[in-house]
Amino acid sequence: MNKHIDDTRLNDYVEGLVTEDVARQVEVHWAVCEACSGRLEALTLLLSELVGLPGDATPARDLWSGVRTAIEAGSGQGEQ
Amino acid sequence: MELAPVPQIDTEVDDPIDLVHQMVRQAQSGDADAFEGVYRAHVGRIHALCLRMSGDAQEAESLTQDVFVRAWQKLSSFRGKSQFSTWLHRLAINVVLQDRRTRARGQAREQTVDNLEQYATAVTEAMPGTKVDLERAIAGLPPGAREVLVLRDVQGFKYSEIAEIKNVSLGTVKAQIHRARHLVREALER
Repeated sequence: MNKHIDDTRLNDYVEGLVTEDVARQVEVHWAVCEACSGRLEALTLLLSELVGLPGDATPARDLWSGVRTAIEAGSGQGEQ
Repeated sequence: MELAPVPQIDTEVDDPIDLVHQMVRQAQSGDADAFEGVYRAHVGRIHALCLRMSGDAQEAESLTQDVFVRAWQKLSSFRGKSQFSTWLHRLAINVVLQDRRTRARGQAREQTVDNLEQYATAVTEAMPGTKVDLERAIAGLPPGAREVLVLRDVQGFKYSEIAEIKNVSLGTVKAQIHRARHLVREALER
């Protein structure tokens, strides 16, 4: 496989969505193509950074008073 | 400022999930004080989701409030078949997507360099230690691409789940996510 790996195949490979045959072909290509192995490295790093982002954020102000006001203003349960 | 009364919760409950379920049950019977406990237990995760999916700090505050008001209104529909946090998360995603659809019909918000800098400052305060360049790059994505990237790569939803949530084909979701990742990498390289 001499052609560069396209973006779809690159993403599918990283997510384990390619067959073993295709995986082998792209791995052979990566072994000899610096450009594609660089793209693989960049995508893998990006995905690991995205999954590692903090899951909690503190609002700049306490939002509970606004919620309480809204629910006391008649937004009763059972409404859709 | 008058302090809110402390919700009357059974102190024998040690498991935090059981404690939340107890507060949910009390809130389902109309106890707003118990609902405050539910809010305090979940506001961090919901606000993080709203921040990243909207890419705007002020909008995220408004969305976070809306999520909890909607949760209160729909609390009777929670039957306990899933974790409450899962139910609340799906509701939050729907609130954010509905808000964006409403906006798209009116005047869409433009993401300027100034907006992104304000967002980066807000995100640093809201989530100390986060990767601010990455957060800025996510916020700079077109709305549709930003939403699918956050759902897939930050929240960990499956492609099929995202397709269902967004009511689009699997192929569309994959294409949007690949494009979003490409755009984020480009932004980080600038």
